[in-house]
Amino acid sequence: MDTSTEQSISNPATGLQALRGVQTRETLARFAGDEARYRHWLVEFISHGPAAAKQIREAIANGSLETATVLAHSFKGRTGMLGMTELHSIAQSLEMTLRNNEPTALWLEELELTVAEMSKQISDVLGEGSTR
Amino acid sequence: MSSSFKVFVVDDDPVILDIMRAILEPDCTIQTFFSSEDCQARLADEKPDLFLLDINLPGMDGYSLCRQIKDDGNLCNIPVIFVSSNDTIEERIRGYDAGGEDFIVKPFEPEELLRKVMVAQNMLLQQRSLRTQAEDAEMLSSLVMASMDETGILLQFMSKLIAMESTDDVAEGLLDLMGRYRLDGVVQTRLGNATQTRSAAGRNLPLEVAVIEHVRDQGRIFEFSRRSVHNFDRVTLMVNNLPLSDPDYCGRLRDHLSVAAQGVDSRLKALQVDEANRRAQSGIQAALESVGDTIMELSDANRSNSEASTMLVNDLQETLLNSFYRLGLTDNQEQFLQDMVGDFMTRMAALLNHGIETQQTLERLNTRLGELRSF
Repeated sequence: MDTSTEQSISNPATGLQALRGVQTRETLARFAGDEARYRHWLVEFISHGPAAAKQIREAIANGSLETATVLAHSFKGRTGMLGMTELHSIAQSLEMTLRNNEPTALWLEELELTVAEMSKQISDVLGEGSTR
Repeated sequence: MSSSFKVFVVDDDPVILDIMRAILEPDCTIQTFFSSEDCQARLADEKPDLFLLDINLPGMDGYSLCRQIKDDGNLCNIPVIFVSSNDTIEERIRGYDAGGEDFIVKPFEPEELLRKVMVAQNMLLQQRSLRTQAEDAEMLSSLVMASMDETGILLQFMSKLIAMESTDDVAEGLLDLMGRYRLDGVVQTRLGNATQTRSAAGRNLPLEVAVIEHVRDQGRIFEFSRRSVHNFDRVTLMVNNLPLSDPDYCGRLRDHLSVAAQGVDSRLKALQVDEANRRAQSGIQAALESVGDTIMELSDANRSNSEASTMLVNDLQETLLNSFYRLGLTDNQEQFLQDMVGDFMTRMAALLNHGIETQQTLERLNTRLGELRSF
């Protein structure tokens, strides 16, 4: 039997547990225990997260609140499914703010900051080249 | 869950689609789409057993796709589960209004998704089972209706059969019954020495007679090729065009025609008995008339004899009295002869009176015979 596979079975969350603000255990179950699959989307977040935050900012800057709302909604869904509870919560607040036509600056900055931290953390823990 | 259970998942987020695959693929067949339009394009060729729809989609949203699914007669029975991060009562109501069966909120737990998919699968199985049961019930109902109709035709024939007074009527009735069952065939009736073979083509056609004569001794029910023969003592019924493609209908026809042929046989037997009775009554009538005629002849002869005897006695008395003057007899001799003749005449008169009584007896007998003949 392959040694890496053996390790993965005995301790499937190796590395993932080091991620703060991510419910790795629950989310790994969501991926049916397929750690490689989960890691792939976490690493993908390193580029996707900042890009999504940037798109939301641009939409708000352009006055396209409807587009910004849809983007924030999608981002909320994605972070929720990846187990990023803090980011999910911030995205939800931003979406609500947009829907209620309230000032978004505070939540947008919070989102960008948290996304940047999460991306760096993932990159540090898992490495950008770690994919399926 | 069965891997043949096919699920179409529509979501614009590849992470969600990947998670859906990870959870469901071991148990279901999954097809994923990034938009409603992609899904619609596939629906032209393939139908799933369940839809999992995101609501916020690029282009057509999940509600609109759901409405289109529910408006499509070919898809409307397929359950739809919305999968959305819009966890508000308004969103859920919109989902139900669009025709969705259930709602899952992102982020969801794998167990929740699996259970809801399982419930949808059970619902689908129950629907299919009910549909099958409904189809079976409908088929059974059609069969019963058809059978009742066929039985009705038979009952109508049997009720008419009782009133049929000739072999012609019976044969025609039987051919008519076969026609109502969409059958073509031949009927042969045998009553006493009279045998007749009838079909729609005519009466006593040589070929048909030859075939019937060949099959009439082949047992009560005899089948060959598309033909079916029902043999009874006084009737043979042969069907030429059994609908072999419908074995159930063939079976029912076999029963109906057997009952009909048996009924005809009984009716022909009754007609035979009636005919024998008619002949016996006719013979008795003729005999009674003959006896009556003989009595009248006897009566006439008796009357003639009585009249002739009376005349002869009167002549004898007159001749005797006239002879007394020519013979010159003494008073005593005349008295002796007169007494002797008188005595014989008295006895003769008694005999003549007895003849009158005989005449009266004969007349009464004739009157009684007349009454019997009139019955």
